[in-house]
Amino acid sequence: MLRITTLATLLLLNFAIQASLLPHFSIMEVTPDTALVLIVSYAILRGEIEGGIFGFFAGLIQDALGGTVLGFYALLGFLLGYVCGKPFRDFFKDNYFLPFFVVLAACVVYQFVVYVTTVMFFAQADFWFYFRTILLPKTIYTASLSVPLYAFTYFVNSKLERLNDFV
Amino acid sequence: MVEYLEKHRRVFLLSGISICIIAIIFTISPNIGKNILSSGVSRIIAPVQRGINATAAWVGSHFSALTNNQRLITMNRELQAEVNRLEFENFRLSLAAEENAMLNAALNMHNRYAHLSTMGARVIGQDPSDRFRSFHIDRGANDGVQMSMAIIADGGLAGVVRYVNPTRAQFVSVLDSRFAAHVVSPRTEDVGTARGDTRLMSQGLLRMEHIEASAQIIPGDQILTSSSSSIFPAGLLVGEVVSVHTNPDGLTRYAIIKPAANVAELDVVLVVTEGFGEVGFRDTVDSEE
Repeated sequence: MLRITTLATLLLLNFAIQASLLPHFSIMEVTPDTALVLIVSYAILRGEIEGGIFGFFAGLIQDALGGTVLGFYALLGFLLGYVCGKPFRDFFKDNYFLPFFVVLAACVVYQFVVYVTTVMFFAQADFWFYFRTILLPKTIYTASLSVPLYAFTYFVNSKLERLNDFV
Repeated sequence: MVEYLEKHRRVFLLSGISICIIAIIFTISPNIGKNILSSGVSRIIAPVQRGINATAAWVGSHFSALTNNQRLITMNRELQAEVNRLEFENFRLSLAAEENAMLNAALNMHNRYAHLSTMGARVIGQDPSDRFRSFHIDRGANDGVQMSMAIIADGGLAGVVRYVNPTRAQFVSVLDSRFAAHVVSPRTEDVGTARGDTRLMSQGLLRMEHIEASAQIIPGDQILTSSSSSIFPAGLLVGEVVSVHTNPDGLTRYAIIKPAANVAELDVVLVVTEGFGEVGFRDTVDSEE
């Protein structure tokens, strides 16, 4: 129960910050996708089942806040959490290089899927333009935030594990 | 619970995917399911967001006051000059307004822009997406905001309400590629369609398309919403023409428009609570290129 409350607060806080504070810190007109980093970090720490559930709810909030279709980002988040959680069960969790590269790869794939499914239809931008102005800077910006955010998630998770509270 | 799911991973994966797909199918046709959840989430998130936004604005203003002293002095001087110029302009315009009122009375027309009833609202957040430009305001259905109402800022059209919750609303700005409005240049009476453009978005500009090749439109012309718009009240200022280009086919032209509203720095906006058409949030676009 404590875990659920903590994670829900974390998610709501993240989206509130992402929607109001991060636009003030945009570089080259892009803001970092902190929700993606949280999903990947949590999936690496807790495996594909909890990663999938966490990703699902993170995506659901993003849908509710301004996605075009409810369930779209939820599906993306669910798959992201599931896929990122699967291969890393037996890795050392206090290695900070792993999440950096996973976030880098996840962000590229995620942005590409979003491009193929939404931007191509609604925004009428060609891929090279999209790659240059959004995908590349956003990936670099997001990946650069992955280490501190992973450290934060790691800290929160280890606190929760020490309290021995299982869902 | 988790242990159980660990044993049935395939079931977990398939049920997760199918829940999402059902939700997508359910929300694509009617808008019911989305609004229930959407309003629930924003009830929780709106106060947090408002607080964070206020803090960010406060910190930002104090920080810039400390560091940009010299810039402020220069800016103050420039603004003083601007005020002088505007006072003169104001005087000139008041003469024009008198003349206009006289002519209007003569033509038995009424100035719709002056009679539009509006409501103030504060922008409390931007959509967490870089591909589109839409904003949240702290007024919702409870305050009388409705879908497809126009949003005005800095004396010009800033956007249009896309969807409404009980406590807040989201509007699509004029720079957003989902924005489209029928517009007219009152000087030459050339018509066209103003649309947000992803390429021009970061420069704060938008396009006016489908202008006839014989149009007399030139940079500096003002662009207003047209009376043929199914959504906007006629005569709202959209912006000023920056440049005019001919399409490669030579049959039509397009213009680049600088919107009157400064979309990058929206804070307080006005919601126009009348003269809107309840048919969506964008005018129809006849021919996509």
